[in-house]
Amino acid sequence: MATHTESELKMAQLLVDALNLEDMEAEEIDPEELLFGDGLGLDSIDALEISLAISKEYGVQIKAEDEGTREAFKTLRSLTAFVESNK
Amino acid sequence: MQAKELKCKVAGVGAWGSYFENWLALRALLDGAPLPEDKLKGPKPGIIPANERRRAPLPVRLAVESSWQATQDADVEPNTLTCVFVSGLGDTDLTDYMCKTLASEHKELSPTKFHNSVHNAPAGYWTISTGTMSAANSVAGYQESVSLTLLEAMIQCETEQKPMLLTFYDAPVAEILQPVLPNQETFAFSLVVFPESAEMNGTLLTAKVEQREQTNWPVLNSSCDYLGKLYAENPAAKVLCLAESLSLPESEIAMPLSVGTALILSCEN
Repeated sequence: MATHTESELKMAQLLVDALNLEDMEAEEIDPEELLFGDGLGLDSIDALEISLAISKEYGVQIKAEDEGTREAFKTLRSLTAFVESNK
Repeated sequence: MQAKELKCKVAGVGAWGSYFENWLALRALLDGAPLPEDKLKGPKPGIIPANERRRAPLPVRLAVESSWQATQDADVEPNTLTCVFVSGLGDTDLTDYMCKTLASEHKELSPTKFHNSVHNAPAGYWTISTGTMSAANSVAGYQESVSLTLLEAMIQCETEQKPMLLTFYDAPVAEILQPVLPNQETFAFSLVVFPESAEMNGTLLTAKVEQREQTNWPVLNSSCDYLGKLYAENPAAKVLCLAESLSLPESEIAMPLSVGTALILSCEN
């Protein structure tokens, strides 16, 4: 597993809390693993919950129609980078 | 005029609470067994797929776990049963969340919590998890929830001549609502019942509605403080008076139904 940065760990904790990931710790989410589909197995409802949690925690709005959204949601690392650059 | 009698047979029972994880354990408590030292954590019903289960709030997990147990006890396929679910309180944690969020500056609601906030959420999780296409009704009647549900399910069982699943559940109330709804206990109980004509053993229930002023629930035989508190505070746990009767050779209990009416329930084993 790749090493987490501090902001990635914070984002991982947000995912665990917002999605109520059963029996999972923030440290267990690989920063480079795919969040959706074959990776962590998240789905479209989770995407909505993540957007809401990020909006409340960081004040960053993620819009479904924006071109960068799909890329941002790819991994924990890309999601953290997206939020950091849009804060 | 002679009141119409409704009859059905109990084929299976399920139960879940902080100190009992099934009907056997609840029956032992009703019979005087000592309270276990440790409280149980909320149930994790395996029949709900993992992705849905992590979104399922406590009332849903209670109702589904207890329902599943009753179908296993009755040895029936869960997807063959028409269902009546009942909670006297609903999900007050979600009611509190919705009110707080809508009164705050950021009014966006969690889609999962919004989806779970409807009263028939447990019925929805159950029917999706079991793949049943049968009808599923969701009742709420505060302190009279249990009697209303028994009446509703026994009418359906007799008129439709179909087996039924009845599930009673109530979770602890959100702190802010405790002054008006003081329940702090967790409870779920389920029955699978068959029409009287079914060839099977099982407690025979006979119900009728009578015109009478019945404001009190029957006194429990059990002297367990925990069960007494549960019975007094948790609207769904009013079914404990029936649970006790399931072990007796013969009994009759009168439950408040509405102003001026009572549900009289006889049990024969």
